[in-house]
Amino acid sequence: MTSPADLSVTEAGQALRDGSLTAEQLAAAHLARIDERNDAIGAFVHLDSDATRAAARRADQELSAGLDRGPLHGIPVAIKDIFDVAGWPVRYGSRLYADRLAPGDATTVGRLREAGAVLLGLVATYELAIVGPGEDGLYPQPRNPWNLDHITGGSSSGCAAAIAAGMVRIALGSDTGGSVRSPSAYCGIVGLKPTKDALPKEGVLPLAPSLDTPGAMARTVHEARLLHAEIAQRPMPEPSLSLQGLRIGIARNWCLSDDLPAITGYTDDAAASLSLCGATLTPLDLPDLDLMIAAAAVLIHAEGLETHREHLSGDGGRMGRMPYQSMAAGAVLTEQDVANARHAATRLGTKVDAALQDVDAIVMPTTLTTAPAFADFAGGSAKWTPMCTLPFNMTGHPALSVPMGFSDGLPLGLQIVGRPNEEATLLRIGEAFEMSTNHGAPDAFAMTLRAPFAREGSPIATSEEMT
Amino acid sequence: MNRNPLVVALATKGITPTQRADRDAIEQTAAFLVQSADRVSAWLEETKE
Repeated sequence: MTSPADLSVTEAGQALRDGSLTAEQLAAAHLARIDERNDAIGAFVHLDSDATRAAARRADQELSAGLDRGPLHGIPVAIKDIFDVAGWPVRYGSRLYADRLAPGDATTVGRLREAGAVLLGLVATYELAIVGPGEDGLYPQPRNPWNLDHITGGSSSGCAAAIAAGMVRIALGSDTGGSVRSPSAYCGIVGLKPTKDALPKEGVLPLAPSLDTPGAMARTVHEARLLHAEIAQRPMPEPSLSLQGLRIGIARNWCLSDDLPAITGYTDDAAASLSLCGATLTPLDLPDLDLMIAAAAVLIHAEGLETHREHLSGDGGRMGRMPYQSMAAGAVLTEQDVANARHAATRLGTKVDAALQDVDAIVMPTTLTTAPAFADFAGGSAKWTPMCTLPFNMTGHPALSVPMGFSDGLPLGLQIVGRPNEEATLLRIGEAFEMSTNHGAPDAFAMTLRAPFAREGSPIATSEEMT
Repeated sequence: MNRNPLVVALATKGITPTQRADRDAIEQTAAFLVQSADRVSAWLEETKE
């Protein structure tokens, strides 16, 4: 018998409305699933099952009384541990905030409550949403449900792990340089970084304010659309699965990877699938990826240092070593460096805008490798993991990552980038791709991990550079 | 471009790492950032409008 925890948001919503399921039963199924799987994965870091059940009962009472708040009414959602949830211990994954209780709801969390969503719990973040997975944060970092020896990516590590392991269908994450999209790609789920400033950031821990944004993460594109529509308070129409009439560029100069040469073939296959859905594919070149990453790296480090300067004084005290080392390094940058980076960001953004004059969207890999193994980071030194995400935090364009297949048993993601405020176009393309390829939606636990889950877990003591 | 030595730049911000591992890692990331900043500067110069 199918557990209610395996129902999609839409299936669960139908069941709640036809009386075959209650929100309380649905919440209980997810809590049972977490109880069963979280010890092995480590995604959830705070649960308040009494509050969750109480919220679910309220959702049931409202539906019984004829008050229907929409597609997320009665649906469980996980929250990254940097979004304030009133009264919950939102601690940013850092020993610096070990005793913190959130004074109120982040605006996006409030919107979820207004939409009738049932808050299921807090999920892990890389410490201060910067780098990881460090060994000296507030809690161990989650493991990739597809292979426990591999990282999830971050910083929205818990969101991705929880969804991929079948513990929740949707989660609220955040993205400063790829923190929604890269863990989504590494864990085989869907992540949407919306247009710059499309979503409110009140009540969310900042890192680099000019780059930060909340973002929706989900098992499927359809569910990401439902979540994004609620937190953006913007209707997202049901898309046509035909892409007839859409022009899609493929950024060939961003599809090359020394670490995974086959990424070019994966992206070509994805483009072929989009073509079969009716889109017209056009090769194009974006500005040099390394140049865009260089400019964005200057901004993220300069802003990160200013955001957390109070805690960086001296030797950083209880701050984890990876965040401390990464942000402290920003001190080397001059005002002129930052001004140059902002100037370059504007000009590079204009070039992306120009490319998007000729096409409706541009596709490329989300990351240029699969999820690295924890062993790859032995020794604890930080390093960049190659990915194509950071440039679009700098330019502000919306970007969606959808599952694009597997290499050696680990997921890869396809990134779809569009014009500002055209998230609906990206979701349309993503949903058509998902439906035509069936790369997405499997439960990693059910698919591959029953045997590995039985293994003894080894301590996690590694690092990954900023995402 | 005139750039303070890293240790001076850190001290200016009140950052005084005491552990060797921290100093080494900061130095490595700082080198990457300087390289990045120089790359951006060079591109702006090359493409000056």
